[in-house]
Amino acid sequence: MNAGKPARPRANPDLAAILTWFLPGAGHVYLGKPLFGAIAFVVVEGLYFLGLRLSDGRLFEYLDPELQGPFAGALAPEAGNLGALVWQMRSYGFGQGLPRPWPEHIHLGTWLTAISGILNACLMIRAHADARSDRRTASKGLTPDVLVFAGWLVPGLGHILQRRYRRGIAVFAILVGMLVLGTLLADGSNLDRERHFYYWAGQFLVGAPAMLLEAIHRHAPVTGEIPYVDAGLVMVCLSGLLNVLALLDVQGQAKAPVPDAAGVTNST
Amino acid sequence: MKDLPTHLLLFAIVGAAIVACSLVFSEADDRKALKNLPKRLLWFFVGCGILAAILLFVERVFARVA
Repeated sequence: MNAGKPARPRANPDLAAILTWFLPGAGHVYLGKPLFGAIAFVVVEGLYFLGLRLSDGRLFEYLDPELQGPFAGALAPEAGNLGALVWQMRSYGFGQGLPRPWPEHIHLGTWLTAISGILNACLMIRAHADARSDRRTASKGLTPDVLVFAGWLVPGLGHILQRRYRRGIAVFAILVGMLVLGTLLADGSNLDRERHFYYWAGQFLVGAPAMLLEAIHRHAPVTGEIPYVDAGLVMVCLSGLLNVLALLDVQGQAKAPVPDAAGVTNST
Repeated sequence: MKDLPTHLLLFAIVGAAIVACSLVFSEADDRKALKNLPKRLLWFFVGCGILAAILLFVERVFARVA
């Protein structure tokens, strides 16, 4: 008997996602979940600013001068956390143009800023899903953002958590296989953000396996000609881009059910 | 052409991965996806072969440099 009860005004899912893109947690504040928003803000921005501190904000100094432009950061994983990226560009830009040694922990720092971007993209998915559902209609189990983050961290894990085992194993085998083969072809030279800024961004979409290989390779210098370096670079970048397709599949399967006008829950 | 077989092999690996991942995205049912895989691979590689033949023909006829 809730006929007399005023219905909660429906939030705009796109607005919630866009607010989150500009400022982590803002979408959840808009949705009336300030505590979740505050925690999300602290975690996502904390990672970004820790990364900035470790790298001295020198990430975009990796870029060659001809690539340094206003949209240089658009294809970096940091673009998932747009507000922080814009702040970094305004505060640090492309450096002073003077040669100086890189900070000791710059690789770890740029990993953290990149992870912050990925995490905020997942938070956008969460804000969008939360705006489309309420407690009455929310689906049981893991939320879409958790599944997508798991699928980024380990390709195929999102599918496995959805109990789509064969699909998950196939995705893992294909994408990690391509990553390993490409890395062998490029002799590990692909695992360096300074050397291949944008290819690295594609490769980062394979998640933990790419980070693990990079940690093992430790940015060793290239000492000779690598015959298939281009093929290897393309292959590892492609494996990351194909993981986006897999993540879209995970997200599509995990979308929260939406009630129709009659209050009947439909899975979309 | 230098190392043509190696390049063809690498292209085949990448092409097969692209087709397989596109099936993951476009087909919800695992059984159907697996059943459609050979057909999709055939279409992909036949299509690539036709495209390569057209490009070679155009290059020979209109843009020959040697």
